[in-house]
Amino acid sequence: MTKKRILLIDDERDLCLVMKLNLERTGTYDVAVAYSGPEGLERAEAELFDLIITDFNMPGMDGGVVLRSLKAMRPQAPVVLCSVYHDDVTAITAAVQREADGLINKPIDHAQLLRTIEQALANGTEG
Amino acid sequence: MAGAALTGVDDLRTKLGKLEVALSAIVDALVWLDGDGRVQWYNAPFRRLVDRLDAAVLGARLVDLLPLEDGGKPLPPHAHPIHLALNGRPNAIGSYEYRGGGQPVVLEVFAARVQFSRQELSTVVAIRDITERRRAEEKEQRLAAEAADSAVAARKRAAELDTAYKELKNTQAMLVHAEKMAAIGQLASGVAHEVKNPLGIILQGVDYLEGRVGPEDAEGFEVLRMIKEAVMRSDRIVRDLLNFSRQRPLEPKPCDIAQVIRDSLGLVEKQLALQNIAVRQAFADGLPPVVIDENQMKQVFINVILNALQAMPKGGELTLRTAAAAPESLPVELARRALMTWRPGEAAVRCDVADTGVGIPADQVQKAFEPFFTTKPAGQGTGLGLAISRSIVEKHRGGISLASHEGRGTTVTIVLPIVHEVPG
Repeated sequence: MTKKRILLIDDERDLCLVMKLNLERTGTYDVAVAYSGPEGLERAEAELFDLIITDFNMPGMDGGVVLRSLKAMRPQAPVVLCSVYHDDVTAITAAVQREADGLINKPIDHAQLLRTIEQALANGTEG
Repeated sequence: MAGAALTGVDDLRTKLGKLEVALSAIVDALVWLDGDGRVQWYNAPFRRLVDRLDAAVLGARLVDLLPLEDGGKPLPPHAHPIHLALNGRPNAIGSYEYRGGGQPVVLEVFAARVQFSRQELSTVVAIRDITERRRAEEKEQRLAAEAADSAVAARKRAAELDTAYKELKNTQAMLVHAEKMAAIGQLASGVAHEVKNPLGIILQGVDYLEGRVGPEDAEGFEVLRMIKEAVMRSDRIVRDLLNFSRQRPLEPKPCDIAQVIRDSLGLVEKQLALQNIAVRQAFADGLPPVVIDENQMKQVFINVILNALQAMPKGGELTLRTAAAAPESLPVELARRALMTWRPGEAAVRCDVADTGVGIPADQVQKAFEPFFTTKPAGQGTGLGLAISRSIVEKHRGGISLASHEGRGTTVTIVLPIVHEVPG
Protein backbone atom coordinates (compact mmCIF):
# COMPACT_ATOMS: atom_id res chain seq x y z
CA MET A 1 0.00 0.00 0.00
CA THR A 2 1.42 3.38 -0.98
CA LYS A 3 1.70 5.97 1.70
CA LYS A 4 -0.64 8.97 1.54
CA ARG A 5 1.16 12.26 1.02
CA ILE A 6 0.27 15.02 3.41
CA LEU A 7 1.33 18.67 3.26
CA LEU A 8 1.38 20.35 6.65
CA ILE A 9 1.34 24.18 6.71
CA ASP A 10 1.98 25.92 10.04
CA ASP A 11 4.23 28.78 11.09
CA GLU A 12 5.10 26.95 14.34
CA ARG A 13 8.16 24.93 13.20
CA ASP A 14 8.50 22.58 16.19
CA LEU A 15 4.83 21.75 16.05
CA CYS A 16 5.17 20.84 12.38
CA LEU A 17 8.18 18.65 13.09
CA VAL A 18 6.66 16.71 15.96
CA MET A 19 3.37 16.29 14.08
CA LYS A 20 5.33 14.99 11.11
CA LEU A 21 7.07 12.48 13.38
CA ASN A 22 3.78 11.31 14.82
CA LEU A 23 2.03 11.02 11.48
CA GLU A 24 4.92 9.23 9.78
CA ARG A 25 5.27 6.83 12.71
CA THR A 26 1.87 5.39 11.79
CA GLY A 27 3.50 4.09 8.63
CA THR A 28 0.54 5.35 6.62
CA TYR A 29 1.58 8.88 5.82
CA ASP A 30 4.41 10.73 4.24
CA VAL A 31 4.51 14.32 5.46
CA ALA A 32 5.97 17.45 3.86
CA VAL A 33 6.01 20.68 5.87
CA ALA A 34 5.77 24.36 4.95
CA TYR A 35 6.13 27.18 7.44
CA SER A 36 3.94 29.82 5.83
CA GLY A 37 0.93 30.20 3.59
CA PRO A 38 2.89 31.26 0.48
CA GLU A 39 5.46 28.48 1.00
CA GLY A 40 2.63 25.96 1.33
CA LEU A 41 0.99 27.14 -1.86
CA GLU A 42 4.31 26.87 -3.67
CA ARG A 43 4.74 23.25 -2.48
CA ALA A 44 1.19 22.39 -3.42
CA GLU A 45 1.68 23.76 -6.89
CA ALA A 46 4.91 21.86 -7.42
CA GLU A 47 3.83 18.48 -5.99
CA LEU A 48 0.72 16.38 -5.59
CA PHE A 49 -0.63 15.73 -2.10
CA ASP A 50 -3.45 13.48 -0.97
CA LEU A 51 -4.35 15.85 1.83
CA ILE A 52 -3.32 19.26 3.11
CA ILE A 53 -3.44 20.41 6.72
CA THR A 54 -3.18 24.16 7.25
CA ASP A 55 -3.22 26.36 10.30
CA PHE A 56 -5.83 29.08 10.27
CA ASN A 57 -4.02 31.76 12.27
CA MET A 58 -0.79 32.52 10.47
CA PRO A 59 0.99 35.82 10.04
CA GLY A 60 0.98 37.19 6.51
CA MET A 61 -1.61 34.94 4.96
CA ASP A 62 -4.44 33.42 6.94
CA GLY A 63 -5.75 29.90 6.54
CA GLY A 64 -8.89 31.07 4.77
CA VAL A 65 -6.89 32.52 1.87
CA VAL A 66 -4.64 29.45 1.79
CA LEU A 67 -7.70 27.16 1.75
CA ARG A 68 -9.35 29.01 -1.15
CA SER A 69 -6.13 29.14 -3.16
CA LEU A 70 -5.56 25.41 -2.59
CA LYS A 71 -9.14 24.62 -3.59
CA ALA A 72 -8.69 26.64 -6.77
CA MET A 73 -5.38 24.96 -7.52
CA ARG A 74 -6.09 21.37 -6.44
CA PRO A 75 -9.82 20.86 -6.14
CA GLN A 76 -9.35 17.12 -5.49
CA ALA A 77 -7.12 17.40 -2.41
CA PRO A 78 -9.04 17.55 0.87
CA VAL A 79 -7.96 20.38 3.18
CA VAL A 80 -8.13 20.23 6.99
CA LEU A 81 -8.07 23.52 8.93
CA CYS A 82 -6.50 23.84 12.39
CA SER A 83 -7.26 26.66 14.74
CA VAL A 84 -6.54 27.72 18.30
CA TYR A 85 -10.21 28.48 18.60
CA HIS A 86 -11.96 25.62 20.24
CA ASP A 87 -15.15 23.76 19.45
CA ASP A 88 -17.32 26.19 17.53
CA VAL A 89 -14.43 27.67 15.54
CA THR A 90 -16.34 30.93 15.29
CA ALA A 91 -13.30 32.87 14.15
CA ILE A 92 -13.44 30.89 10.95
CA THR A 93 -16.36 32.10 8.90
CA ALA A 94 -19.14 29.71 8.06
CA ALA A 95 -18.23 29.91 4.37
CA VAL A 96 -14.67 28.84 5.04
CA GLN A 97 -15.92 26.06 7.32
CA ARG A 98 -18.10 24.73 4.53
CA GLU A 99 -15.22 24.74 2.08
CA ALA A 100 -12.87 22.89 4.44
CA ASP A 101 -12.95 19.09 4.51
CA GLY A 102 -12.20 18.96 8.22
CA LEU A 103 -11.67 21.18 11.24
CA ILE A 104 -9.46 20.47 14.21
CA ASN A 105 -8.80 22.48 17.31
CA LYS A 106 -5.42 23.20 18.82
CA PRO A 107 -3.79 21.83 20.87
CA ILE A 108 -4.09 18.91 18.49
CA ASP A 109 -4.76 15.53 19.99
CA HIS A 110 -3.02 12.88 17.93
CA ALA A 111 -5.86 10.35 17.94
CA GLN A 112 -8.34 12.99 16.94
CA LEU A 113 -6.06 14.22 14.19
CA LEU A 114 -5.84 10.72 12.77
CA ARG A 115 -9.62 10.37 12.80
CA THR A 116 -10.08 13.75 11.08
CA ILE A 117 -7.54 12.89 8.41
CA GLU A 118 -9.07 9.47 7.73
CA GLN A 119 -12.52 10.95 7.45
CA ALA A 120 -11.38 13.74 5.11
CA LEU A 121 -9.57 11.22 2.92
CA ALA A 122 -12.60 8.91 2.87
CA ASN A 123 -14.92 11.77 1.90
CA GLY A 124 -12.47 12.90 -0.75
CA THR A 125 -12.41 9.38 -2.24
CA GLU A 126 -16.20 9.19 -2.26
CA GLY A 127 -16.55 12.64 -3.86
CA MET B 1 -74.56 132.37 88.84
CA ALA B 2 -75.52 133.15 85.29
CA GLY B 3 -72.06 134.46 84.67
CA ALA B 4 -70.52 131.39 86.17
CA ALA B 5 -72.82 129.24 84.12
CA LEU B 6 -71.94 131.23 81.06
CA THR B 7 -68.27 130.87 81.83
CA GLY B 8 -68.92 127.16 82.22
CA VAL B 9 -70.61 126.99 78.79
CA ASP B 10 -67.82 129.06 77.20
CA ASP B 11 -65.35 126.84 78.81
CA LEU B 12 -67.10 123.80 77.39
CA ARG B 13 -67.28 125.39 73.93
CA THR B 14 -63.61 126.13 74.00
CA LYS B 15 -62.87 122.60 75.09
CA LEU B 16 -65.19 121.19 72.45
CA GLY B 17 -63.49 123.32 69.80
CA LYS B 18 -60.06 122.17 70.92
CA LEU B 19 -61.27 118.59 70.99
CA GLU B 20 -62.53 118.92 67.42
CA VAL B 21 -59.19 120.36 66.29
CA ALA B 22 -57.34 117.67 68.18
CA LEU B 23 -59.49 114.87 66.76
CA SER B 24 -59.03 116.27 63.28
CA ALA B 25 -55.27 116.28 63.69
CA ILE B 26 -55.04 112.49 63.91
CA VAL B 27 -54.72 110.45 60.75
CA ASP B 28 -57.73 108.19 61.27
CA ALA B 29 -61.13 109.29 60.09
CA LEU B 30 -63.61 109.46 62.96
CA VAL B 31 -67.34 109.69 62.73
CA TRP B 32 -70.11 109.64 65.29
CA LEU B 33 -73.46 108.28 64.20
CA ASP B 34 -76.88 108.30 65.75
CA GLY B 35 -79.00 105.23 66.29
CA ASP B 36 -80.07 105.23 62.62
CA GLY B 37 -76.51 105.36 61.42
CA ARG B 38 -76.69 109.04 60.38
CA VAL B 39 -73.65 111.24 60.79
CA GLN B 40 -73.77 113.51 63.82
CA TRP B 41 -70.14 114.54 63.95
CA TYR B 42 -66.96 113.79 62.00
CA ASN B 43 -63.40 114.95 61.84
CA ALA B 44 -61.50 116.51 58.95
CA PRO B 45 -59.83 113.25 57.75
CA PHE B 46 -63.35 111.74 57.40
CA ARG B 47 -64.49 114.58 55.18
CA ARG B 48 -61.39 114.27 53.07
CA LEU B 49 -62.01 110.56 52.80
CA VAL B 50 -65.61 110.84 51.59
CA ASP B 51 -64.70 114.00 49.66
CA ARG B 52 -68.10 115.75 50.09
CA LEU B 53 -69.27 119.17 51.19
CA ASP B 54 -70.00 119.46 54.89
CA ALA B 55 -73.69 119.97 54.11
CA ALA B 56 -73.82 116.64 52.30
CA VAL B 57 -72.14 114.82 55.17
CA LEU B 58 -74.01 115.83 58.28
CA GLY B 59 -77.16 113.79 58.71
CA ALA B 60 -76.35 111.46 55.83
CA ARG B 61 -76.30 107.70 56.40
CA LEU B 62 -72.77 106.38 56.68
CA VAL B 63 -73.64 103.33 54.55
CA ASP B 64 -74.43 105.73 51.69
CA LEU B 65 -71.45 107.98 52.29
CA LEU B 66 -69.03 105.09 52.54
CA PRO B 67 -70.06 102.29 50.21
CA LEU B 68 -67.65 99.49 51.04
CA GLU B 69 -66.67 96.46 49.00
CA ASP B 70 -65.46 93.11 50.13
CA GLY B 71 -63.40 91.07 47.70
CA GLY B 72 -64.44 93.39 44.84
CA LYS B 73 -68.20 93.00 45.54
CA PRO B 74 -70.39 95.69 47.16
CA LEU B 75 -70.85 95.01 50.83
CA PRO B 76 -74.57 94.49 51.58
CA PRO B 77 -75.93 96.93 54.25
CA HIS B 78 -76.56 94.13 56.78
CA ALA B 79 -72.88 93.18 56.64
CA HIS B 80 -71.65 96.76 57.09
CA PRO B 81 -69.69 97.08 60.34
CA ILE B 82 -71.99 99.90 61.46
CA HIS B 83 -74.99 97.70 61.03
CA LEU B 84 -73.23 94.98 62.97
CA ALA B 85 -72.29 97.39 65.74
CA LEU B 86 -75.82 98.69 66.00
CA ASN B 87 -77.23 95.21 66.07
CA GLY B 88 -75.56 93.70 68.99
CA ARG B 89 -71.88 93.42 68.21
CA PRO B 90 -70.26 95.99 70.52
CA ASN B 91 -67.02 96.19 68.55
CA ALA B 92 -67.10 95.32 64.88
CA ILE B 93 -63.89 95.47 62.93
CA GLY B 94 -63.08 94.54 59.39
CA SER B 95 -61.14 95.64 56.37
CA TYR B 96 -62.82 96.55 53.10
CA GLU B 97 -62.12 98.17 49.78
CA TYR B 98 -63.43 101.66 49.10
CA ARG B 99 -63.52 103.33 45.66
CA GLY B 100 -65.43 106.54 46.49
CA GLY B 101 -62.31 108.66 46.67
CA GLY B 102 -60.97 107.91 43.16
CA GLN B 103 -58.02 105.56 43.74
CA PRO B 104 -59.24 102.37 45.39
CA VAL B 105 -58.05 102.07 48.96
CA VAL B 106 -58.26 99.46 51.67
CA LEU B 107 -59.96 100.66 54.86
CA GLU B 108 -59.93 99.13 58.26
CA VAL B 109 -63.28 100.04 59.79
CA PHE B 110 -63.78 99.86 63.54
CA ALA B 111 -67.30 100.52 64.80
CA ALA B 112 -68.09 100.73 68.51
CA ARG B 113 -71.58 100.92 69.94
CA VAL B 114 -72.07 103.64 72.47
CA GLN B 115 -75.07 103.63 74.78
CA PHE B 116 -75.57 107.26 75.97
CA SER B 117 -78.83 106.51 77.73
CA ARG B 118 -81.50 103.89 77.64
CA GLN B 119 -83.03 105.59 74.63
CA GLU B 120 -80.02 106.99 72.95
CA LEU B 121 -77.93 104.53 71.13
CA SER B 122 -74.99 105.66 69.05
CA THR B 123 -71.99 104.42 67.16
CA VAL B 124 -68.48 105.76 66.90
CA VAL B 125 -66.60 104.67 63.84
CA ALA B 126 -62.87 104.92 63.29
CA ILE B 127 -61.61 104.37 59.76
CA ARG B 128 -57.99 103.88 58.89
CA ASP B 129 -56.48 103.73 55.44
CA ILE B 130 -54.39 100.54 55.51
CA THR B 131 -53.68 100.41 51.76
CA GLU B 132 -49.94 100.76 52.24
CA ARG B 133 -49.86 98.34 55.14
CA ARG B 134 -51.88 95.80 53.16
CA ARG B 135 -49.57 96.18 50.18
CA ALA B 136 -46.56 95.67 52.40
CA GLU B 137 -48.20 92.63 53.98
CA GLU B 138 -49.09 91.20 50.60
CA LYS B 139 -45.59 91.79 49.36
CA GLU B 140 -44.22 90.11 52.42
CA GLN B 141 -46.54 87.15 51.90
CA ARG B 142 -45.58 86.99 48.25
CA LEU B 143 -41.91 87.09 49.12
CA ALA B 144 -42.39 84.44 51.78
CA ALA B 145 -44.29 82.27 49.32
CA GLU B 146 -41.63 82.82 46.70
CA ALA B 147 -38.94 82.00 49.19
CA ALA B 148 -40.81 78.83 50.15
CA ASP B 149 -41.27 77.98 46.46
CA SER B 150 -37.63 78.53 45.69
CA ALA B 151 -36.66 76.46 48.73
CA VAL B 152 -38.85 73.66 47.41
CA ALA B 153 -37.42 74.15 43.94
CA ALA B 154 -33.90 74.14 45.32
CA ARG B 155 -34.58 70.91 47.21
CA LYS B 156 -36.07 69.41 44.06
CA ARG B 157 -33.07 70.49 42.03
CA ALA B 158 -30.76 69.08 44.66
CA ALA B 159 -32.63 65.77 44.55
CA GLU B 160 -32.49 65.76 40.74
CA LEU B 161 -28.80 66.53 40.80
CA ASP B 162 -28.28 63.76 43.32
CA THR B 163 -30.13 61.28 41.10
CA ALA B 164 -28.22 62.45 38.04
CA TYR B 165 -24.97 62.15 39.93
CA LYS B 166 -25.77 58.63 41.06
CA GLU B 167 -26.74 57.65 37.52
CA LEU B 168 -23.55 59.18 36.22
CA LYS B 169 -21.53 57.28 38.77
CA ASN B 170 -23.26 54.05 37.82
CA THR B 171 -22.71 54.69 34.14
CA GLN B 172 -19.10 55.50 34.85
CA ALA B 173 -18.71 52.33 36.88
CA MET B 174 -20.25 50.37 34.02
CA LEU B 175 -17.92 52.02 31.53
CA VAL B 176 -14.89 51.40 33.69
CA HIS B 177 -16.01 47.79 34.08
CA ALA B 178 -16.52 47.42 30.32
CA GLU B 179 -13.12 48.95 29.61
CA LYS B 180 -11.46 46.74 32.18
CA MET B 181 -13.11 43.69 30.62
CA ALA B 182 -12.01 44.77 27.16
CA ALA B 183 -8.42 45.27 28.33
CA ILE B 184 -8.38 41.94 30.15
CA GLY B 185 -9.98 40.36 27.10
CA GLN B 186 -7.30 41.66 24.79
CA LEU B 187 -4.55 40.56 27.10
CA ALA B 188 -6.18 37.18 27.61
CA SER B 189 -6.61 36.65 23.90
CA GLY B 190 -2.97 37.49 23.24
CA VAL B 191 -1.78 35.19 26.01
CA ALA B 192 -4.09 32.40 24.90
CA HIS B 193 -2.81 32.46 21.33
CA GLU B 194 0.76 32.41 22.48
CA VAL B 195 0.15 29.54 24.90
CA LYS B 196 -1.89 27.36 22.56
CA ASN B 197 0.98 26.53 20.21
CA PRO B 198 3.51 25.49 22.88
CA LEU B 199 0.75 23.39 24.43
CA GLY B 200 0.26 21.80 21.04
CA ILE B 201 3.93 20.95 20.79
CA ILE B 202 3.91 19.41 24.28
CA LEU B 203 0.83 17.38 23.47
CA GLN B 204 2.20 16.15 20.19
CA GLY B 205 5.50 15.45 21.95
CA VAL B 206 3.73 13.35 24.56
CA ASP B 207 1.93 11.45 21.82
CA TYR B 208 5.28 10.80 20.20
CA LEU B 209 6.89 9.65 23.45
CA GLU B 210 3.97 7.36 24.23
CA GLY B 211 4.86 5.48 21.08
CA ARG B 212 8.50 5.27 22.14
CA VAL B 213 8.04 4.30 25.79
CA GLY B 214 5.93 1.27 25.12
CA PRO B 215 3.37 -0.33 27.44
CA GLU B 216 5.96 -2.26 29.48
CA ASP B 217 7.29 0.98 31.07
CA ALA B 218 4.34 1.67 33.40
CA GLU B 219 6.13 4.48 35.22
CA GLY B 220 7.09 6.26 32.02
CA PHE B 221 3.54 5.89 30.82
CA GLU B 222 2.18 7.36 34.05
CA VAL B 223 4.47 10.39 33.79
CA LEU B 224 3.33 10.99 30.24
CA ARG B 225 -0.30 10.70 31.32
CA MET B 226 0.37 13.34 33.99
CA ILE B 227 1.95 15.69 31.46
CA LYS B 228 -0.98 15.19 29.13
CA GLU B 229 -3.45 15.95 31.88
CA ALA B 230 -1.57 19.12 32.80
CA VAL B 231 -1.68 20.19 29.15
CA MET B 232 -5.43 19.60 29.07
CA ARG B 233 -5.89 21.60 32.23
CA SER B 234 -3.87 24.48 30.84
CA ASP B 235 -5.88 24.23 27.67
CA ARG B 236 -9.13 24.53 29.62
CA ILE B 237 -7.84 27.73 31.23
CA VAL B 238 -6.77 29.12 27.89
CA ARG B 239 -10.13 28.17 26.43
CA ASP B 240 -11.88 30.07 29.22
CA LEU B 241 -9.68 33.05 28.55
CA LEU B 242 -10.48 32.97 24.88
CA ASN B 243 -14.15 32.58 25.61
CA PHE B 244 -13.96 35.54 27.88
CA SER B 245 -12.05 37.74 25.48
CA ARG B 246 -13.97 36.88 22.40
CA GLN B 247 -16.98 39.16 22.48
CA ARG B 248 -19.02 37.17 20.09
CA PRO B 249 -21.90 39.18 18.58
CA LEU B 250 -25.32 38.04 19.73
CA GLU B 251 -27.40 35.89 17.45
CA PRO B 252 -30.72 36.54 19.12
CA LYS B 253 -33.96 34.79 18.41
CA PRO B 254 -37.14 34.25 20.44
CA CYS B 255 -36.65 31.39 22.90
CA ASP B 256 -38.56 29.66 25.65
CA ILE B 257 -36.32 30.43 28.61
CA ALA B 258 -37.45 27.33 30.53
CA GLN B 259 -36.36 25.15 27.61
CA VAL B 260 -32.96 26.86 27.49
CA ILE B 261 -32.51 26.13 31.20
CA ARG B 262 -33.68 22.52 30.78
CA ASP B 263 -31.21 22.02 27.92
CA SER B 264 -28.39 23.48 30.02
CA LEU B 265 -29.34 21.19 32.87
CA GLY B 266 -29.32 18.22 30.52
CA LEU B 267 -25.66 18.83 29.74
CA VAL B 268 -24.64 18.39 33.38
CA GLU B 269 -27.06 15.55 34.19
CA LYS B 270 -24.31 13.00 34.79
CA GLN B 271 -22.67 15.19 37.41
CA LEU B 272 -26.00 15.82 39.14
CA ALA B 273 -26.52 12.10 39.58
CA LEU B 274 -22.92 11.51 40.72
CA GLN B 275 -23.15 14.19 43.41
CA ASN B 276 -26.54 13.09 44.71
CA ILE B 277 -28.22 16.39 43.99
CA ALA B 278 -31.99 16.76 43.84
CA VAL B 279 -33.28 19.17 41.21
CA ARG B 280 -36.43 21.21 41.70
CA GLN B 281 -37.80 22.98 38.66
CA ALA B 282 -40.38 25.73 39.10
CA PHE B 283 -40.96 27.30 35.72
CA ALA B 284 -43.76 29.85 35.41
CA ASP B 285 -46.48 29.08 32.89
CA GLY B 286 -47.25 31.39 30.01
CA LEU B 287 -44.07 33.43 30.02
CA PRO B 288 -43.55 35.29 26.75
CA PRO B 289 -40.53 34.21 24.71
CA VAL B 290 -37.30 36.08 25.38
CA VAL B 291 -35.14 37.23 22.48
CA ILE B 292 -31.72 35.81 23.32
CA ASP B 293 -28.67 34.17 21.87
CA GLU B 294 -29.54 30.64 22.90
CA ASN B 295 -26.00 29.27 22.87
CA GLN B 296 -24.51 32.12 24.83
CA MET B 297 -27.29 32.04 27.41
CA LYS B 298 -26.84 28.27 27.71
CA GLN B 299 -23.21 28.95 28.51
CA VAL B 300 -24.39 31.28 31.28
CA PHE B 301 -26.76 28.75 32.79
CA ILE B 302 -24.19 25.95 32.57
CA ASN B 303 -21.64 28.17 34.34
CA VAL B 304 -24.06 29.04 37.09
CA ILE B 305 -25.30 25.46 37.51
CA LEU B 306 -21.73 24.09 37.59
CA ASN B 307 -20.87 26.63 40.30
CA ALA B 308 -23.90 25.43 42.25
CA LEU B 309 -22.78 21.80 41.89
CA GLN B 310 -19.28 22.63 43.06
CA ALA B 311 -20.77 24.36 46.09
CA MET B 312 -22.58 21.11 47.06
CA PRO B 313 -19.86 18.43 47.22
CA LYS B 314 -21.91 16.45 49.74
CA GLY B 315 -25.15 16.69 47.83
CA GLY B 316 -28.07 19.04 48.24
CA GLU B 317 -30.88 20.66 46.37
CA LEU B 318 -30.69 22.70 43.19
CA THR B 319 -33.71 24.89 42.49
CA LEU B 320 -34.36 26.44 39.10
CA ARG B 321 -37.11 29.02 38.93
CA THR B 322 -38.49 31.36 36.29
CA ALA B 323 -41.06 34.12 36.73
CA ALA B 324 -42.25 37.33 35.13
CA ALA B 325 -40.77 40.32 36.94
CA ALA B 326 -41.45 44.03 37.14
CA PRO B 327 -38.24 46.08 37.46
CA GLU B 328 -39.27 47.33 40.92
CA SER B 329 -39.54 43.77 42.26
CA LEU B 330 -35.88 43.00 41.47
CA PRO B 331 -32.86 43.00 43.78
CA VAL B 332 -31.67 46.59 44.08
CA GLU B 333 -28.63 46.41 41.79
CA LEU B 334 -30.65 44.72 39.06
CA ALA B 335 -33.49 47.23 39.46
CA ARG B 336 -31.00 50.06 39.04
CA ARG B 337 -29.58 48.48 35.95
CA ALA B 338 -33.04 47.86 34.59
CA LEU B 339 -33.93 51.52 35.11
CA MET B 340 -30.92 52.57 33.14
CA THR B 341 -31.09 50.20 30.24
CA TRP B 342 -34.72 49.23 29.83
CA ARG B 343 -37.34 51.11 28.00
CA PRO B 344 -40.28 52.37 30.06
CA GLY B 345 -42.79 49.63 30.75
CA GLU B 346 -40.48 46.88 29.60
CA ALA B 347 -41.06 43.71 31.55
CA ALA B 348 -38.59 40.99 32.33
CA VAL B 349 -38.14 37.32 32.89
CA ARG B 350 -36.40 36.48 36.13
CA CYS B 351 -34.47 33.23 36.51
CA ASP B 352 -33.17 32.04 39.87
CA VAL B 353 -30.62 29.28 40.32
CA ALA B 354 -30.45 28.39 44.00
CA ASP B 355 -28.26 25.84 45.75
CA THR B 356 -28.05 24.60 49.32
CA GLY B 357 -24.28 24.60 49.24
CA VAL B 358 -21.42 26.09 51.22
CA GLY B 359 -22.21 29.70 50.28
CA ILE B 360 -19.83 32.59 49.73
CA PRO B 361 -18.44 34.71 52.60
CA ALA B 362 -20.14 38.11 52.69
CA ASP B 363 -16.94 40.04 51.94
CA GLN B 364 -16.41 38.04 48.76
CA VAL B 365 -19.88 38.28 47.24
CA GLN B 366 -19.09 41.60 45.54
CA LYS B 367 -15.96 40.17 43.95
CA ALA B 368 -17.67 37.09 42.58
CA PHE B 369 -18.19 38.64 39.15
CA GLU B 370 -14.65 39.98 38.88
CA PRO B 371 -12.51 38.14 36.36
CA PHE B 372 -9.96 35.74 37.86
CA PHE B 373 -11.68 35.77 41.23
CA THR B 374 -12.35 32.26 42.47
CA THR B 375 -13.20 30.56 45.74
CA LYS B 376 -12.34 27.18 44.29
CA PRO B 377 -9.12 25.29 45.06
CA ALA B 378 -6.22 25.81 42.66
CA GLY B 379 -6.72 24.06 39.36
CA GLN B 380 -10.50 23.85 39.67
CA GLY B 381 -11.50 27.20 38.31
CA THR B 382 -10.09 30.13 36.42
CA GLY B 383 -12.41 32.66 38.02
CA LEU B 384 -13.83 33.54 34.67
CA GLY B 385 -17.16 31.70 34.66
CA LEU B 386 -19.22 34.41 36.35
CA ALA B 387 -17.32 37.23 34.65
CA ILE B 388 -18.14 35.68 31.26
CA SER B 389 -21.72 35.08 32.36
CA ARG B 390 -22.12 38.66 33.44
CA SER B 391 -20.73 40.00 30.19
CA ILE B 392 -23.11 37.79 28.19
CA VAL B 393 -26.16 38.71 30.28
CA GLU B 394 -25.34 42.41 30.08
CA LYS B 395 -25.01 42.20 26.32
CA HIS B 396 -28.66 41.13 26.41
CA ARG B 397 -29.40 44.30 28.46
CA GLY B 398 -30.07 41.97 31.36
CA GLY B 399 -28.53 41.71 34.76
CA ILE B 400 -27.10 39.06 37.04
CA SER B 401 -26.77 39.24 40.81
CA LEU B 402 -25.87 36.92 43.60
CA ALA B 403 -27.12 36.48 47.16
CA SER B 404 -25.37 34.09 49.49
CA HIS B 405 -25.45 32.89 53.07
CA GLU B 406 -22.35 31.10 54.22
CA GLY B 407 -23.20 27.53 55.06
CA ARG B 408 -26.73 27.81 53.69
CA GLY B 409 -26.37 28.36 49.99
CA THR B 410 -26.29 30.78 47.11
CA THR B 411 -28.92 32.11 44.75
CA VAL B 412 -27.97 33.60 41.42
CA THR B 413 -30.63 35.78 39.83
CA ILE B 414 -30.62 36.56 36.13
CA VAL B 415 -33.07 38.98 34.57
CA LEU B 416 -33.60 39.43 30.88
CA PRO B 417 -35.81 42.10 29.33
CA ILE B 418 -38.62 40.87 27.14
CA VAL B 419 -37.81 42.68 23.93
CA HIS B 420 -39.82 42.67 20.79
CA GLU B 421 -37.10 43.73 18.42
CA VAL B 422 -33.72 42.15 17.92
CA PRO B 423 -31.01 43.94 19.93
CA GLY B 424 -28.05 45.17 17.93
